[in-house]
Amino acid sequence: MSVQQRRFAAATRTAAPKRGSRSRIKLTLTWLTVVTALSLFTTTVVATAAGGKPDFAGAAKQLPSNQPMVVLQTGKKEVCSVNASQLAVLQARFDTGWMTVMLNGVETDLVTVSGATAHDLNTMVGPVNCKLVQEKHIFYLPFDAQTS
Amino acid sequence: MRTRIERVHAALYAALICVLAGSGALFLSQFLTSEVFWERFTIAYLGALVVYTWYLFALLLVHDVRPRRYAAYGGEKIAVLVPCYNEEPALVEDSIRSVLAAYGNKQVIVIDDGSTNGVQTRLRELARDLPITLHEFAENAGKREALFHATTHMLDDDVAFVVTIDSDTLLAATALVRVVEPLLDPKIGASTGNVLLLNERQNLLTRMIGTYYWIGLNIYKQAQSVIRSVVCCSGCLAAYNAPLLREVIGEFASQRFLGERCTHSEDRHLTNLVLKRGYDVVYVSEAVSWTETPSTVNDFLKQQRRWKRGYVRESLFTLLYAWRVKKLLWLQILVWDLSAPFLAFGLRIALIVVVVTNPTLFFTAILPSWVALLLIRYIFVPLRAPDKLLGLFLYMFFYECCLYWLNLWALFTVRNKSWVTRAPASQAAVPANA
Repeated sequence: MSVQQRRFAAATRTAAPKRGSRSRIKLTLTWLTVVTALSLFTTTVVATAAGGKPDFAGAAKQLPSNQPMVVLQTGKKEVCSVNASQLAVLQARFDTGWMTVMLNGVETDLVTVSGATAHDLNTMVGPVNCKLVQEKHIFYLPFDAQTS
Repeated sequence: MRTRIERVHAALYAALICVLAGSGALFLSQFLTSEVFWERFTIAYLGALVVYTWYLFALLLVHDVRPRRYAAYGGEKIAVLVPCYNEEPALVEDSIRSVLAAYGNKQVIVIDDGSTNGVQTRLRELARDLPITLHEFAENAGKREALFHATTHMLDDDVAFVVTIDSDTLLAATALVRVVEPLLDPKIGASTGNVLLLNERQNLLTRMIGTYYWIGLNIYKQAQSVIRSVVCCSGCLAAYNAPLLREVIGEFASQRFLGERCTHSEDRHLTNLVLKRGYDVVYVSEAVSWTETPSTVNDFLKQQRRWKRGYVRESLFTLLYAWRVKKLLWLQILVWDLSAPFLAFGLRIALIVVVVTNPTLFFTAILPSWVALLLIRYIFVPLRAPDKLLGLFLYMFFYECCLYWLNLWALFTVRNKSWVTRAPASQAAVPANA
């Protein structure tokens, strides 16, 4: 290869990224956008993972509506159907409160029982019918196309 | 009898099938036992996705802030190998002429791999009129054999670099010098160039493939290049250090996987052999080439079936050596490239279940979050190539509906050595102990 050809090749060398102030501003803006978008992405994913909304009404719907229902919030969240005497035993032994959910368009009170598990209920008041409370998550598709 | 390496390959392959089965089992566990495992798995997967995305963009930031510069080409001799099989005569002629027009001190070698479409006549005419060396195989032997023969028998002694291109690739005038410049650094064993599509505007499919190439090159390969571990030097335009290529070519030509001799995905294996010896592999976006892409869904799927099989096979191959020479590459292959598509099997099934059982949820919650996620992960497309936005959306749906499932198909047919778009290769051209 002649010197002339080499010079020509060097002269046609693709320009390296420009270091002018305009390109620097453009690069900075690009990366500010990227970092903002990625932070948003991370925040929503983490929030989704950490902050699912428990669907108490969904679990309560699966139980008979003519009996009192208690919500267990220790360990796995469950809603259980109990009778009046069982409810009285629970109110005597545990701290209780109440919450309201909409069941088929009707406001329904559920008794919250602190510190009790389904196992505790079974040993104290006999067998009870319990349903697991589902967590409602925003659904993210883990899209990651493979392009190698 | 299986060698030790083949037994390790078999074990890794079995592990991969277990990953797939595990993902399916986790999906079923929410119905059979408790939701807890499935929820934890989903969260862990999303967490890994977040970490990987940050990692990818951190590499791209490094590239933007400190772009790598290489020494200028000094006139070293470059051998350009152009294997040709049943290529359209006009296209291969354009390709050869573009190589001859490119700057650089060149030896151009064209290998006709037993074509049956009459392209030999045109190649012989070109060999008479132009400064190229033509070698013809009596029958189709395969691309590996063509490269093996050219490297072992046809290279001039003073060749410093070997560039391989496909017979339908056109080179920019500066492509050869740009792609070999990194090889002036003795630590770099191979480099690969930018590939643009000649027929990108032909139809919606080719627009989608244009985006697929753009993402693959300007996001993934660019990021891999920052850690000098590009996993595949594209067959369209790749450059190798000549002594290194001579050293690995025998192992390359005689590759076997699970007892079967390998034919396709030769570009990825050649790159693997370079990385395995501890050399760096980089991507040079300034080395520009153009190629034709399949313009029908059927042809594109045929190509993808071949690529996906090679992807599984070569990723398993990478796992065996990368921990020793390139730890980041090893981690990326293990966690993301190899495991993630199969781990995501249960999530894909979950998606199908939601689409069927609760289309309202799909259209009101999943689809918008899916699109938002996509735009964030591939934010470089709207920022740097806004003309490819349509292709990105098309690609998103095509990937979910079709390409993702080809990963599973590839897993179960990984031993299949059919080229799909080529006639079966003879096994006689390369000695078994090469």
